[in-house]
Amino acid sequence: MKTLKKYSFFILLTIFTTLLIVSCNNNSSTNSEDNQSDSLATDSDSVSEQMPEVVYQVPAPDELFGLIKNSGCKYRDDILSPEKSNFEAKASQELNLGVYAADLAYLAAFDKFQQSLKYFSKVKSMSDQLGLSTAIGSEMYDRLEKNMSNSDSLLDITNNSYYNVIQKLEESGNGKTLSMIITGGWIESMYIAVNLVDKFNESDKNVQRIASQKIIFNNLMQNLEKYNKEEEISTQINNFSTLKAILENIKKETIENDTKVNSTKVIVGQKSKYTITKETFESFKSEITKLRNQIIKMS
Amino acid sequence: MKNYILIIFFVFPFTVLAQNCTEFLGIQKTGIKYPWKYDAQSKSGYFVAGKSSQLNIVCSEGKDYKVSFLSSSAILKYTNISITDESGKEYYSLGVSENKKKELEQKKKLLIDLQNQKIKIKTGKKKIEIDANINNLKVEIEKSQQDAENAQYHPQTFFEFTPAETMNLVIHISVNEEATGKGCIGALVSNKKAEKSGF
Repeated sequence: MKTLKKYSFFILLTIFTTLLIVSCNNNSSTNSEDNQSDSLATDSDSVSEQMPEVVYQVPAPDELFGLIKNSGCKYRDDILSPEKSNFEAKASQELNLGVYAADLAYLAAFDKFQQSLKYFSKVKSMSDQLGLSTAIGSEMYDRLEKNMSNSDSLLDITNNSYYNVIQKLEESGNGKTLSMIITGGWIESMYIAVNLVDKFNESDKNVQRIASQKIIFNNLMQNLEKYNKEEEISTQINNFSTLKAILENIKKETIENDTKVNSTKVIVGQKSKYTITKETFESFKSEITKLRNQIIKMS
Repeated sequence: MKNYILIIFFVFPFTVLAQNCTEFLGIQKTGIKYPWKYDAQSKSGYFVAGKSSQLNIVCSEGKDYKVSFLSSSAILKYTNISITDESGKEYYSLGVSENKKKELEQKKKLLIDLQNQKIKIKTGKKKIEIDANINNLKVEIEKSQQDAENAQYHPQTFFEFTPAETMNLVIHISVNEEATGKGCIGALVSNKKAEKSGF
């Protein structure tokens, strides 16, 4: 009788779980069909964690590489992070997942198919190690293999793998890991960006783009500050103190006034230029290199 | 056995439902059409009456951006959204923004002042000047009222723009205290390579 009771519980559990999953799926598909326009209202009884009072976002690495590629920079493959077989500590796994994700975004932006496949595998295995195996399914790897000559697919698949990792971490409320991954990704993106600058020229588009990262760095720091009680995060914040001081030497000046509204576009903000000396750029480059090497040499 | 059934009925639905505000963004994401692409700075979250949040996003020079909003119908009527830069300059608001309401009130007060001044002046150049100002102000008020009505009854649920510089934009989201329901609000950020206008 006891065994029967035990089984009944599991049968009921299975039936209810199945029913709930089916009903949730139906709801999603209806909404996705309705959401082709920019409509605001949707019916959803979904409940999850409340949005924090202040959220600081950092753009994904592919955003920067897309712009760098468009500016005519030449690809260099000697600046990629070397493939290391394993990272033991969780903090080094998190930071290096960010590093590899940035490398992957760089490779995808420059249409490097074969190498992308290799780094995609690395990103996938490291996500699995961090318990994010559902974020990057093996079908994504298959899709990537099948679309080895299609640049758009390459970008789409690699970007989606990054977004899925972020989404999984947000769903599970794991903001600390997310901050670490983003930090690793930003440092590697900066390392690649500074090394793609051939000759320093303050007016160079990419030098200006690197200088404007001061804004992103601020969001990155604010994001890390939320978890400053965690040891790995406070170490990271301390590691950034020199970089912070260097970035304070970069000043912004407005070169055009007023927000313009023309017939086709709304333009926000004011056109500006960053003042960055060669010395500041070199200090930034050397500090980023130091931080990046610390991460990739972690055990 | 009774206890098991109670657990299934009361605990399970909440466990399953407790995952969905991020899925909310997934639903929105399906609406993105080429050449626009999803921006990982998008965010959705759960809101109750009186809850407010600020989402700071970085927009890069050289790209066009679009921020679209989606809200659960239970809180839609009570949702306030605006986009400002760090100095507080407002670029977008869902519905009628507080700034625009204040602006309209100020214009109405100014109109009354001018009408009172006009009564005191019988003839002359000054009266013509005041008459012209009153007429201009009436046109402005009418336009502002029309804009307010459009914003209230046909709100634009997205903001498309080009940043002149790489900048931090703040998306302010709040749900009024009067709201009785609760639900998710999503801010979907998408971007594309900026198009150059003109020749």
